[in-house]
Amino acid sequence: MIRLSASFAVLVSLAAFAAEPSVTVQADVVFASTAPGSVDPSLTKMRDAMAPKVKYLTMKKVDSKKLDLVQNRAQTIALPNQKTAELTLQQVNDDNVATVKVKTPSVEAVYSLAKDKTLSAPAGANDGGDLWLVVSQPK
Amino acid sequence: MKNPAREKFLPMLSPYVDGELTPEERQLVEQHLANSKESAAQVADFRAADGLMRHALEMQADSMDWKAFADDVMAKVTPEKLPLFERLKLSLSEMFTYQRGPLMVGFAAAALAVLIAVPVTMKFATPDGYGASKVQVQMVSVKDTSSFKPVVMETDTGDAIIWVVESTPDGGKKKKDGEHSEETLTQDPPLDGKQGDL
Repeated sequence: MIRLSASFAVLVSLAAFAAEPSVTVQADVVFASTAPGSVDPSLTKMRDAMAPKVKYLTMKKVDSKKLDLVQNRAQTIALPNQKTAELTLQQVNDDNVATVKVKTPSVEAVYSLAKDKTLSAPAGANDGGDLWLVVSQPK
Repeated sequence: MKNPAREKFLPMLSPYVDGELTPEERQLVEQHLANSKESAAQVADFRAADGLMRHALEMQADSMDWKAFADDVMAKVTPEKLPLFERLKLSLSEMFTYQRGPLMVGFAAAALAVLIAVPVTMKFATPDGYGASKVQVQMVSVKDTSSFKPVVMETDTGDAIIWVVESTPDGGKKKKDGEHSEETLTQDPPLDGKQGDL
């Protein structure tokens, strides 16, 4: 009984300490263009948010992935412009706030994830428009 | 000719042989037997008959197979299997009675395991990483050229958009949400680590 309890305690503790921090993110690659076209209904909020800067008339998701980010291990996303974007979990702090590094052909940013919030980062030009990497909390 | 004493002791002779009399009665009968040859002979007859009967019964008993009888009796004697709850209760009762020390140590170890495991697993158990209420960009950079700079725009809903802008000759100005600027939006600046406005 004693040995069993002690073994259980040790195993649970080791398993818990051995677990690496990880988070799951939704990474969408969006093509946006000012050329006349249609806007994916799920992107109208993004279009409206960007409207003060650029009035995109065409917006569509070209890729959508759910990525499990493990600390300090970069996950790569292939982009339609033959380039790649990278997402890396840097840390998850005690307040359950994850810090993620996003690297696209255009920018490199470090930011903290937020509940139901998105980060849109430019990911280069393609086919007469712009590519955006949109990182959000998975639904 | 009738013997009044024999008449009196006659009903007591059979119980005497069977050992059913009180010590006082037995003593009286034995005194009577010492004086009455007839009664003594009758007692001898009773004992002989008793011996014969016992012997006959023993022979009859030896000839019978008592195994089934024994099994039947033992089956009735063996207690029925208790319900699970009763057995657990009994086991626990015995453990508390005879193994109290080891049991308490075991409980203490289990409690310690829970005390260690719960906080640790709560700390690391599926942290979704979305504890913040709004996106906070801590660092953003583009290539180190004088003509490009990143600008972070926070939307009304708490989202964040990173724009790469071409700076004006004076080095560019920090943009505010929804504010148009003379800076030119671009998508393809070289990327080598210039940090922009946050």
